[in-house]
Amino acid sequence: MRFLRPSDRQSTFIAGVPSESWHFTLAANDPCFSGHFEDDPVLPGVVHVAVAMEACTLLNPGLPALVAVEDLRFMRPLLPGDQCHVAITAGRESVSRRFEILCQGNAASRGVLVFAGPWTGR
Amino acid sequence: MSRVPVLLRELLPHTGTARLLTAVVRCDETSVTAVGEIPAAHPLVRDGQAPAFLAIELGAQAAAAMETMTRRAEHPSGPVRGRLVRVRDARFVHDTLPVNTPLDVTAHVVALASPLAVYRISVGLGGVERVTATLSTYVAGPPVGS
Repeated sequence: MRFLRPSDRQSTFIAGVPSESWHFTLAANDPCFSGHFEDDPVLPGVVHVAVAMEACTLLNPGLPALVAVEDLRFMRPLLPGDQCHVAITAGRESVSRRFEILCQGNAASRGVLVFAGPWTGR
Repeated sequence: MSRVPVLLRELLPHTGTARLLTAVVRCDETSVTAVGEIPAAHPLVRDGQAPAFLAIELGAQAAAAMETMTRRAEHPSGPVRGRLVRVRDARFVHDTLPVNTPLDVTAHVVALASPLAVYRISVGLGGVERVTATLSTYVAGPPVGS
């Protein structure tokens, strides 16, 4: 795992919906910031998806292939040193999961991941 | 603006392994055709394969290159730095992409209301489409056509 530690998992409820979440910190020297951009580093948007996929893999090690990303929105850039929180909740279908990444209580991104088959885990 | 050989460093603010686009083949006011390659040293590459969702970044860079070329025609400047604000309907035929392999990248403008723009992007390999998506970007600075 690159960003998340399995031991940091928390089971909570978001608006009454079961949620699994992790706190994580974006290391200032993480290579994902390198070259993006030299004088003003910002976490690339695709890395938000990578974090969410890491969380999904921790929940379901036999994760089916990702076949789609639907309605992914970026609200706040993530910067080196940011302390963040990623939450995974069930999607409308058994093959999808919603994710949200927060930083200091504010949503940084949220989206829906769609997989090739239903989950065997939570 | 078509078939202009350009240096990518003049079009994109990305450097090192973060710059995935390697060439712009053709560009006009509504679309860009480019070539990209994911370096094996990219931080999201695992076991010699890149996650397919990294194609979103390829499409975003193609859109950014087009944005820079379009704006530069009116306001000489360096690379435009935009923000990806939304991704809709990204579809992946396979869950991985090969590294160190030329990929075909296209971006077409489907809506423009500066500073917001919406692009339909595709990333393919050997003439076969592997990833499609719709991206929305926000670019600060002088609007195109101002």
